[in-house]
Amino acid sequence: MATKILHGEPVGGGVVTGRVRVVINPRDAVTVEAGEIVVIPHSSPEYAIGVMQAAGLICEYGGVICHICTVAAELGIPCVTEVKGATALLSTSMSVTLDGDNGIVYAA
Amino acid sequence: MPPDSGQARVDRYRESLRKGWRHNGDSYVWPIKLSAAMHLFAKAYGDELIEDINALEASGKSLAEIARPFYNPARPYRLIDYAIYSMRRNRCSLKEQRQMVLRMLDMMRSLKDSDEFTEDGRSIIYRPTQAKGIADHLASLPPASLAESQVVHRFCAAMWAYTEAIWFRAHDVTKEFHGPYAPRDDQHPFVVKEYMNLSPRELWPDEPLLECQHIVIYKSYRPPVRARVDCHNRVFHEGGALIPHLDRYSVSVDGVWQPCDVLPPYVAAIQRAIPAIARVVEQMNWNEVALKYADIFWFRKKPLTDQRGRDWRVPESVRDAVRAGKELDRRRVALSEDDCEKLALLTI
Repeated sequence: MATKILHGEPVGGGVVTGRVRVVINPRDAVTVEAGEIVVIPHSSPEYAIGVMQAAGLICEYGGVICHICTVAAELGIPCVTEVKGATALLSTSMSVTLDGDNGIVYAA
Repeated sequence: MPPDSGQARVDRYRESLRKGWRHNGDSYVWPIKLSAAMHLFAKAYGDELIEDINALEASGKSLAEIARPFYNPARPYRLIDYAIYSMRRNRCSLKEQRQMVLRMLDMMRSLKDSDEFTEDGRSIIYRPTQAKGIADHLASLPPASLAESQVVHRFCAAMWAYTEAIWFRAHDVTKEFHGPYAPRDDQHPFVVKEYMNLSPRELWPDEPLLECQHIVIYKSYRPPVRARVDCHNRVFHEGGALIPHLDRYSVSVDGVWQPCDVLPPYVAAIQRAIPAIARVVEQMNWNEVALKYADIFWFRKKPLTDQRGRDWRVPESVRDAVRAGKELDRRRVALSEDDCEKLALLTI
């Protein structure tokens, strides 16, 4: 059984498994590669550049209708927000399964 | 109480705020927390807003005529709060405040053809003939392929991010999402995502903006996906994954239908525009960003000042106040969902 490692508010979009990309500086959003699960601290339009490549989004702070979550919803990708500790506990290249409908992040 | 009585409408307005604001307590908001800057210009803005409406009514225009240049109902709806803000600080009676709310709700209601608070999940702007024309157009198109669906959804996401970059949180001036429309029995309902004022050179004279002003995206989904719209102009899709269930779509740019292959170049242009604007905003200090917000606010009511033949821009006295003002620390804190709801219920 997969190990639940984090949880937050579900934004929706289904379930996806992929490699994590933690992006702290919005300028680094351009480095996101297709299929990655982006982890960001909060909403900002520049993060959208990376989210548009992503297979999923984990946001540490921001309500379910914050702008970056809306971008994820527009894309139709899994998204969970208010995931406290996400940017510290998750690291780039680790694999996770993101359940956007139930707000849970599993170790993959 | 009759549902259309003044008191019932004010109650429903308050309830619509409660629903809309309950998720609005974020501690970090790009580019700045508006609530911590409002004290520098919101009263002057609300004063002018009320003066504009009063003057236009006094000139013989009906509220519907005054509202028409706004085009989208979200604009008068989202301005109501600032009229109340001004009236409270001018110590207007609650009765006067409620009358103003009702007048502005009348303006909003004149721009739509469905429940004014969208309580049934439908926001209808198009006349039946217009909706039928769109439905016929969509019916003439082949169903979207999976690859096209991915392009279309990416384009939708890019548009949302772009409008946030250039208009911050003033959604009403740049977005109107409406529908679902179901004028044909043989077709799935469609929703409309309409983006306006996409190249505001008045605000961003030198940045790489899109060269068009108006983009409209029409989308219909196969079951189990269904859409509903709320009075804050948000579209909620429920029931399943969006990309595999997109049935038909069409996009128009400045009134001209576009094929799917023009969408990636728009996305690329947006991917250049957003960082460019982010860099400009980064260079600004807090007061300069607050001033940009004031510019955006005054642009929001430009349809009123245009009707009066006046300059729409922020008065110099307000600009001076914003330049010299300070961020209100106590309004920077994140509000809980409960706090947001209470605030909405206290508004009027």
